[in-house]
This record gives sequence, C-alpha cells and structure tokens, in this order.
Amino acid sequence: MMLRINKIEIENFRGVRSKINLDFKKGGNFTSVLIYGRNGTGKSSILDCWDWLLNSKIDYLAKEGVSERDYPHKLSNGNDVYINIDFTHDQINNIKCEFNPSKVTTPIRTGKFEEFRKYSIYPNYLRYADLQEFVYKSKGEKYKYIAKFFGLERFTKNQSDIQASLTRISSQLSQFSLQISESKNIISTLVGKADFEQTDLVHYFNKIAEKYNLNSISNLKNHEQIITELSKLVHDNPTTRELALFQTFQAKINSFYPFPTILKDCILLESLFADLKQNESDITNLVLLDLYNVTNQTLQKIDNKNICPVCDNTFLGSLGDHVLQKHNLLAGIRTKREKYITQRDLLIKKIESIQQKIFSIQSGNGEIVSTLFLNVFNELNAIQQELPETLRILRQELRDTETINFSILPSTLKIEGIVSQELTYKEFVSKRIQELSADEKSKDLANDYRNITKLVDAYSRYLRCEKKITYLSNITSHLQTLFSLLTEFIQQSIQNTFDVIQTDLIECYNFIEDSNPFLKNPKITLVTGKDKAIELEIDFVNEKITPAYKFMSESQINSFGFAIFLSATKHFNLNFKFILLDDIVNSFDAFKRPKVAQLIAKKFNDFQILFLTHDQVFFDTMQKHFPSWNRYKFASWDYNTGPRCFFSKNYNEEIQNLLDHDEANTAGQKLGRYLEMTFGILNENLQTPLRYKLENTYTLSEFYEPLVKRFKDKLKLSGKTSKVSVLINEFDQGTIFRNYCAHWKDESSPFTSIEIQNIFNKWLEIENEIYCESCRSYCSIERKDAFEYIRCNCGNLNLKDESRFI
Amino acid sequence: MSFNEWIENLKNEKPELKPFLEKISVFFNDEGFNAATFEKKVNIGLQKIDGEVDEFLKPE
Repeated sequence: MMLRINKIEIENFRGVRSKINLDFKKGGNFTSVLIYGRNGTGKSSILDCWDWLLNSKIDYLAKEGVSERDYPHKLSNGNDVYINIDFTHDQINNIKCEFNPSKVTTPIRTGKFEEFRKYSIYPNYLRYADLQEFVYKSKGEKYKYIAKFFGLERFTKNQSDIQASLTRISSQLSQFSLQISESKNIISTLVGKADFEQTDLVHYFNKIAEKYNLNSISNLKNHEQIITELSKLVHDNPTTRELALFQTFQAKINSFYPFPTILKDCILLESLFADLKQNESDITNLVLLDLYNVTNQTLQKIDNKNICPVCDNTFLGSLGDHVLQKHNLLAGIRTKREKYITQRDLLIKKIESIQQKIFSIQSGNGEIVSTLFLNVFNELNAIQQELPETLRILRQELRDTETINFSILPSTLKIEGIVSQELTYKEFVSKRIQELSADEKSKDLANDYRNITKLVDAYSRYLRCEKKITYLSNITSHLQTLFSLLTEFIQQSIQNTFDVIQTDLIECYNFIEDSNPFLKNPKITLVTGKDKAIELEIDFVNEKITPAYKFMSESQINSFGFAIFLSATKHFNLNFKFILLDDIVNSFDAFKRPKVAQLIAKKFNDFQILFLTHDQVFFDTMQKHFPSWNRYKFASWDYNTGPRCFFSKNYNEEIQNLLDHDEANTAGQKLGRYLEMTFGILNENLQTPLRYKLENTYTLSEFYEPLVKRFKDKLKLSGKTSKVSVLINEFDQGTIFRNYCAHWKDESSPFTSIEIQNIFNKWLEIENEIYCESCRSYCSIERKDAFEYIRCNCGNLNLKDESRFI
Repeated sequence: MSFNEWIENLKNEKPELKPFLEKISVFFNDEGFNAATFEKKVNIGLQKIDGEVDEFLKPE
C-alpha cells in the first residue's frame, strides 16, 4: 500500500523554535507543500530535520564541526526536540523522532520506524549543495555520491575501509620486504654466499671460534656460547674494547646527524605569533566568516542591499561594503592562523625528532666514550630538560599563550652549537678508530666480535621478516580478492541500477534542457580501469563526450544531478512517493526554472513534494502551476520563536482577497506585478519581437502591445477569428486596462475595486484559453516538420486548432 | 541485498575464500568495517611470530 503523508510537525530543531505544522492534505485530498522564505528564516532546518530522522546525524554539519548536541534550538535545552509525521497507511500511522539529551547520537524513535524505513530506501531529499557538490566532485567522489543514492552506501563504506586497511597492511609488508633485503645483504656479505642456509651461519661461527681457540657449535641455537666467550676476549683487551665502543658510537653519530636546527623556525613562528596576537579579539569571530560570505552572496541577489536579510533593519551606509570589509578582515586572519598552525606543527615535529635523537645517542656508550664526550652529553642533557616545556607552550591554545621567545632560549642556541660541531665530532671518532685499529690483532678481534653480533641480529631479523611476509602476504592476497569482488559487485549494481533508470533520467534531463538541442541523453559510465570512479557522458552534436562537463555549464550539470535524483527516487521508493527539495533551482535561469515546475507536473504529479525556495519569483511560478498545493511563507526569523510562518495564498487568491476587502490600490499593484511576470513568460514563449531598451526597463504596455500583435499575427484562419483575439479585444475595450497600464504603479492614481476586478476577471478568461491545467504550461511556439504550432507542452491545448476559432 | 547477505553469498560462490571470510566477517557491523580491531588482530599475529623466532633461536 502506498504510504502517504498527512502532516509533518517540527519543534525546537535548529532554527525552528515554536512548532511548525505542515499540512499535506487539502480538502480531504493528499497534496504537496511549498515554502517560501528568505535566507536565514529557518527553511533548511526542515530538511535538516528530515535528514536527522533518517540518519540520526547530518553529515554536512558534522563536516563543519557541528555535532548532534548542537541540533536542538538553544532555548529548548534539549527538551521537546522532535519531528512527528502522521501517515495514511494500513500499518504505519505515525512516527516520531525525538532528541535524546542523555545520548545525543541516538534519538528516540517511536511508531513503526523500522517499517517506515523499508519504504524510504533511497535518500529522498536534495539540497542545492548536493547538486553543486556533484558538479565539482572528482570521479571518485561522484562514485561515492551515486552509490549513496543507489543505496550502496554501506557497501562503498566497507570498500573504502577495506582499501585503507589493505594499504596499511601492504605498507607493513613493504617495510618487512625492505628489512629482509637489508638483512639478507648483511648475511650474504658476511658468510660469502648469496643463497645461504643455516649451516652456512654455523660454519661462519665455527670459523671465528677456531680463530680464537673457542669451542665450536653444531647448531645455530648455541651461537650465544661463542658470542659470550668472544665478548670476554674483547673485554679483556682494552684496545679492542675501546675500538668496539667507538665503532658502535660511530654508527650512532652517523644516525644522530644531520641534527635539526630550529632557530630560523622559531624566529618565523614568533613573527607569525606577534602578527596574530594583534588580531586576537577577531580570532574568536572567525566562526562568522561563513556568515559574512553567505550574506555577501545573498546581497548580490536582492534588490534593496541596505536592508539586512536576517533582521530586516536598515543599515546606515553601504551594507555590502561593510559585510565585505568584515569578511576580508576575517579571511585574512584565518590565513594568518593557518600559517601559524602549519609552522607550529613543523616545529613540534622537529623538536620531537631532536628528543628522539638525543635519547638514542646517549644510551649504552660505555665509560670511555661517555668521558670523552662528557661536555657534549651535558649540553644534550640541558637541551633535553628544556624541550618538554617548549613543547607544552607550543601545544597550548593561542588564547592561553601570552608570548613566545623560543629563539632566545638556551636550548635553541645549544642546538645550533651541536649542529655546528658535526664535522668535529665525526672526525674525532674516525681518528680514534684509526688509531685503535693500528694494532691489527685488536682490530681483528673487534671486527670479528662486531660481525658476529651483526650476523645474529641480521639472521633473527631475516627469520622474522620471512615469516611475517608469508603471513601478511596471505592476508593481503585474500583482502585484495575481497576488495576486487566487492568493487565488481558495486560497479555492477550501479550499472544495473543505472540501466533501469536510464529512460527516466534521459527524459527528465532532456525536458529541463530542451532549449539546448545539442546536449542530450546523459549517461553515467563506470571508468574503465579504475575501481571506484564514474564519469558523466553526454551526446554533444550526436557525439558521445566524456567527461560531460567538457561542454556542460554548471547549470546543465546541476540538471543532470537533479535528473539522477528524481529518476532514482521514482524507481526505488515505489510505495513512498515523497521528495524534499531545498533551493535546488538556484543555478537555473528564469527560463529554466519553470521547466522544473512543468517536469514535476508531467512526471511527478502523483508525488507529494516538500519544496523550499528563497526565490519569490519562483514561488509565484510554482503557485501558478500548483494552485492545489499548501503554501507557507516564512516571513522572518526570531530567536525566541523561530520562523514566523504564515499560510500563504497564491497570486490569484491574494488579489481576489484584496478586492473583497476593497483594497483596490494594493490589489492593483499586485495584479500589475503578476501581469508583468505573465506577459514576460508569454512573450518569451511566443518569441515576440520587442523593442530593445538600453536601460532594460519596460512598462506594462511595452510588454502587452507586442504580445497582442503577436497573438493576432500568429492566430489567423480564413473567415474566422481566434477566441484569444476576441477575448483580448474585450479586454482592451471592456476594461480600463490601457489607463491601468499607464498608472498602476502610481499610488496617487486610485482605481476602484470594480475596475481592478474587471481587468482581473477578463485577464483570467484569457489565461483560461492559453494555459493548460494538465501540463501546467502556457502555450508557446513550436516548429516541427515545417509546421508551426502554438500549443502547450503536452499538446492538449493547441491554439491553432480550428475549435479555437469562431 | 544487505552487505551481510552479500558476504554469505560469497562464501558459497567462492569456497576457497570461505575460511578467510569466516574470520573477517566478525569485523563488519552496522558502523562498517572495524579496521582498527582487524589490524590489531593482525599485529597480534605478527607478535606471535616474534615469539616463535625467539623460541627457535633460544639455546638448547
């Protein structure tokens, strides 16, 4: 059974404070809802609430650092925060999703929510940002987006997680492969064989044992015996002992250097810090950066740029300049902060590296080395003692840091000293080793001892790596297979799903973009050779082009994204025909927007739709096309009450209502605006030649006269007159329309309600003749097969048909 | 088809993968693939190898 919505109630969610009631029934019939509200009046909170109902979390907000804890309206304190939906259905009557203050990530759901979920398989809501995001996504991101809308989100998430895990484990495998190679080289060099076996190592050990008259071994497990005895010999020989120590220390010094210098980094950081501290009070205002950005963009689109779009108050001076200035200031501060953070993190990394190096070089050096390098180790100790405090200051919040002066710290200068002594220390150690190596016998003993310990370490590492490589190779091989199979499944599912919705997708897209005959038949294709990538393809002048946006504008690609959403929802939510659309026509021009309305009328007439818009003109267009929809206006927003929500009338209802209350002037002005809009649409549809005006301002007459001429020129039949022409004549002669055209904007020229009513009624008669209620479109010129038609989109209303003439 | 159902189907279609799938399927839940826990288990396996090698090289 079809699941239908009766009512949606929302309270205390984000911008919504007082309960909002959206009625999806009118006169006993199911209907849709249209909401108009300027930016900042709380419209998007409605769609956010639906998102939360389905997913418990709003992803785009999470990316901005907004957590579930922030969803309730501030004044609610987390209480009575909910969305409640009443349905008509034999099983699902109601569902409610309520905020849970004790576990914010898990809202309390009542009613048959799980049953409801089975009806709402695919995400049935679309924000403008989703379309825009779609346009600019990479191929991989498009893949993820499409997979989400095709219900494969869990699969693609697992696919990403498996791939990430595979990468990490493969990285470990590579490191072991590197280590085994290094170990193998060491062993091969020492035993003198590229392909060695355990017996070769035993042979090497016994060779050494024989050289120093030690007991031989028959099994590598007993290698400790030889090492211990050799160690004793080394210990008893002072020269060898010292040589062994210095050789070990030389290896350490070679790892110790290059030693990081931090003086320049400290100076740079201090400079960035000082710069930032000057703007400290503005740093806390960085949260307003996005607000200023949006306000700036909004002001471009509204007429009166000195009225604040949020509070409706008039700003003294240029609001646009003021907002721009604020935005630029904060943007500059944000850049400075980012630079500071980057430099700070770099310095922290360097200091941590210094700490590690100091620790490594100081441990296990023996008495001789420690004594000879006492001053050096004392310096290193002093540095090591100061660094933790430096790190602590670096890691604390900017607001808690008064000043930084790392460049003049003793540790910083000592580090410079250590760096400058690299050559000196290395030469000292080399020279000492050379001196000690003068005694061949001692040198031999030290080398043999070093080699034998090196061999044992290398062999131990070799064995470990060999086993670990086998172990990890097995895991990665299976994981890779799983990943490949999963990818194949996802790709196949996407392609199958896409094949299923292809027809609808093409129809939706071609409908919206019918003014462009060159770009048609969009398609999603999987990119060959890539496992998580899709691309958009389209016919351009009958040639298949990929990627589609080579020749597509942003608006056209948005049409594509919109068409995908509509066709997928239509196919997969078979028993729940409900979609939510939030400001999705933003990138469409005035000619394309009515197409959206017409498409809904043509292909989604059986859907319930919640349509949100901030565009007054589009709201009026939608009202015209869907007079049976319930319409709401969010007049403004108040912190204490949320959106001021009114049930709104359409143009015709408003004009009639004003006339009923004898408000002739207001009715006249509203009618004038309505006629301006309608004449514009009709002139465009009929391709009426209009006199060009540089200042681009036209009176009502300047739209009307050419329109009348156009109708009369195009609707001719021998011996007959078109009904439209007759009605237009009655309109001209039977009303004061001409006078009205000249004075309708002038408040000092009053008209009577009767006069306006006359004009209104007569115009509605004309409209009745030229507007098709089925497909929600006015008649327009269409040229096909050498014929010229003047008809609506569905063809039912054809003004050139003989029945339209008398 | 849910992801769990797909895994079950795969066990039948790819019997050679079944032992691996039996082990790895415990790491999939409603949140997704618990890679952290999976890799922890892998690392435990690596540590076991260290133990085995130490044992092997221990004197008799």
